[in-house]
Amino acid sequence: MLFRTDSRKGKLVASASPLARRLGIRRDMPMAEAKALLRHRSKQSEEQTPFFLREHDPVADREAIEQLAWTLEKFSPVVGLEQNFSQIDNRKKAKANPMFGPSSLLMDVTGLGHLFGGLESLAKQLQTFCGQLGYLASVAIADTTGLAWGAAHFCSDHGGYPVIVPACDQEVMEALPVLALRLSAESTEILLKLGIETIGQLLQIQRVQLSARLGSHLLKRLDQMSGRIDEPIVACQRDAEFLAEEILDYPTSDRETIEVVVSRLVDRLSKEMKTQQLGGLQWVVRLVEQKIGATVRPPVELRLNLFQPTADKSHVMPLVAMQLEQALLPGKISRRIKAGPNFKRSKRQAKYGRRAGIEVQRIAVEVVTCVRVVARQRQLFDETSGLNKQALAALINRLSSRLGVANVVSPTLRKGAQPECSYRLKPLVDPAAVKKHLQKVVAPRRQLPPSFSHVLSRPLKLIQPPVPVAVTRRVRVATDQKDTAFLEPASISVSSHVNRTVQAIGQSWGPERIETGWWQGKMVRRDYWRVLTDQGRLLWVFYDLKTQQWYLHGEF
Amino acid sequence: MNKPSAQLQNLQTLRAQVSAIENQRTVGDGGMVSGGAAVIDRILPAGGYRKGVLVDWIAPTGCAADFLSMRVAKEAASSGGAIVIIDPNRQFFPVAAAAMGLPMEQLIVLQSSSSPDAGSIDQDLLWAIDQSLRCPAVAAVWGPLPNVDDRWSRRFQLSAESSGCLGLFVRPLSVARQPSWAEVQWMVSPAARGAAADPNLFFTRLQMVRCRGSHTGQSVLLSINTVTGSVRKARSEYEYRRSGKSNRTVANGGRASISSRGAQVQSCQGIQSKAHSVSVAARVADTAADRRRA
Repeated sequence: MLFRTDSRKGKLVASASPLARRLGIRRDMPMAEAKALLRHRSKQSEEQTPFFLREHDPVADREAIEQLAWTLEKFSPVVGLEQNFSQIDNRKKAKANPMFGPSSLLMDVTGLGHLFGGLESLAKQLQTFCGQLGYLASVAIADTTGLAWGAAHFCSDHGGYPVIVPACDQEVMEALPVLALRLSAESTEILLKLGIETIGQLLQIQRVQLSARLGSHLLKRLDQMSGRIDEPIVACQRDAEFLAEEILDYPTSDRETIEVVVSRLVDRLSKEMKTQQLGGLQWVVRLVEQKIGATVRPPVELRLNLFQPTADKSHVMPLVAMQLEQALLPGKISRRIKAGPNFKRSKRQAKYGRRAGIEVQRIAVEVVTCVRVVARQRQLFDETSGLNKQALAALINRLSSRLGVANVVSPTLRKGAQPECSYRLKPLVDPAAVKKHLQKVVAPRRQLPPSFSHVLSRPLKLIQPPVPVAVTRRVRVATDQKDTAFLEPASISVSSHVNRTVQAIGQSWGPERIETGWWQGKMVRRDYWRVLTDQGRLLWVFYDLKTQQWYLHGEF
Repeated sequence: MNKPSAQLQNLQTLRAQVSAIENQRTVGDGGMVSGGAAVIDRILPAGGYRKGVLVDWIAPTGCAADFLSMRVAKEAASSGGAIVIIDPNRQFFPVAAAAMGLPMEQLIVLQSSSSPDAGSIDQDLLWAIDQSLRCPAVAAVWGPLPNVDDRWSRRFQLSAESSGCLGLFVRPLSVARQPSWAEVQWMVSPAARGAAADPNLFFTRLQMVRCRGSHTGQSVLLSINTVTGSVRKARSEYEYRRSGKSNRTVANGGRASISSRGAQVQSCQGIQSKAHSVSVAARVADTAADRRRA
């Protein structure tokens, strides 16, 4: 399930999988209610089905569908995003509510059927291709956009057989529900209240009456679906401004040849960007394989996210070469666009665990994000002088390319008592953030150091997750204290990879109570102690007041 | 009469020449970086660490080796430059570094995408260490370094020499008897505390295992003030008792009360300590120390 956060109602269900919907989960249902329903159903049923909860990211959704639209341009030169009916009716409402976004792609395949062996073959290949990318696609081909949309949504199941609506087939159109007209929720509700459930029933009513009762938009949709008026498809425009590609005379799998061609293309783009004083933040190299028969395989994509925008070939090429080496290593599976669960390996791959070498026919290099290099650069380490910023940026680019963007991070402190939540590690290479930063002239915020009474109140090494340890408490003469939290630890049993040793505690400092608020999620109540063992080890342990268990959390 | 002074002068000249020959490989401005404490600088032959060298701290866990080595990284980055933190086990706690005064903007943390076995490190991370040591914009590379191949160690040394970057590595005890390309190698071991010692002090012994141009085997007992973070040579128990001044402290860190922040405990020089606060989120409670006094 995906959830979203509403400022008034809290967490609500944004989207649910078919299985969750069968169990009664509905959109806009409070998450607490949904979780209770799931727990109740799982207790009733014998099988324990795991559920995954994620926060909905509409921006990521939009980017993903745009990316898919650009990828599907191999099937049709015109691929557009669905113009959501709410966006047409009420743009202000759509703008205020980020949940309204396209969920379908529209493609113009007029005259393209013979290139793919017929419309049916085209539809099947499209479905298979989307499956390889991790999407369950419902595909329908019809004479009009509206009819195709309706057939895709209401005539076929997700991932089911594609639907080809024969030309001039009125029966299919009349059988569709009124929801297929892509009307607003209010209009649809009125129709259903009136007992009009199918388009066939709607067509029996006079147009004048429909117009008077429900407005002209309904008639427009009917006409678009029947073909009386045209509904053009607006192709999805790319952000990329720079694209260079080369088609090889003969397909090749030789890495050196591919590198030479890529270098040529990068050089071409660099010269073009330099004339406009632009630098690329996101570079994409696409290696398109030779088409074998009617099979179309997704291209191999290498993405390069840079810390600092550059149009310098000498900066970009070493990073590209590093990724090419990893992607084209013989015997290794090269990286592809995200392969979904429907991705099937060949028998050879399944047997030997590796794929055969790819035969590259076409190479394209694209700069997806670029900014002006004369603008104010992101001022990392701005306050310090004598720093070779170019060298540092080049180092960060190299490290990110080899280790991965998520593993080259910069720490930022957060307000939070719980140690695990008191900091965050953010990737240094984040093209969206860098672009936003470069477009705004904002002085970097300097983080104030945390206020602690002891410089050594926190260890540099934090063990995550905390390790349960056995701690015995010091014996007291007066034992009227029931709250064990305030009794000093007397000995601690710490396990190493070799053995488990019991160490007496010579001295302890504490407790330091850390409690988090209920609004921050799962409440935490811990008493932290710094303990010095008789072996001279300084450890950071805590007593969890909820579980009444001791944990080792750090070592100094 | 002039012979002893002439001999002394000759000796000093010869020492300088030997040092110049040994250090002629150093590239860059040849600047020095403090060892993080005056007592450590006094042991080092040049009064600090030369830029472009590797320094190892061989220690078991919990001996404050991380703290001592991070102090050197802080000194190295004080004149500008990034500090690259190697974090193979994803255990680095930046809040502690911030409490020591390190600016977060100067830290770059490198993590490994795969979870390494105990005592090993990812090959990609080793490559990253090498690349970071080569970069002139990096002041220091800090982090845990398990037993690595001799070729990597040599590569690290050459990379650090070429850029003037300091490589500061905390290493396990298993590397103690192995040859090393580090300029200085310390053995950090826990030390017992005296009965009269200030409760705010943590003691650790630092022994020089290897150092170019100096006699190895020198060791010093350090006292680390957990409140102020200062590192000094520990006084013996006799000296403490001889000083005759009581180190009265209120419950050191044991008072779970919300008192005024900012009050600091003076170092253990016999000065009466003030009450200091430990951050507490919710409620006032009796501490073990208070109950003892009662």
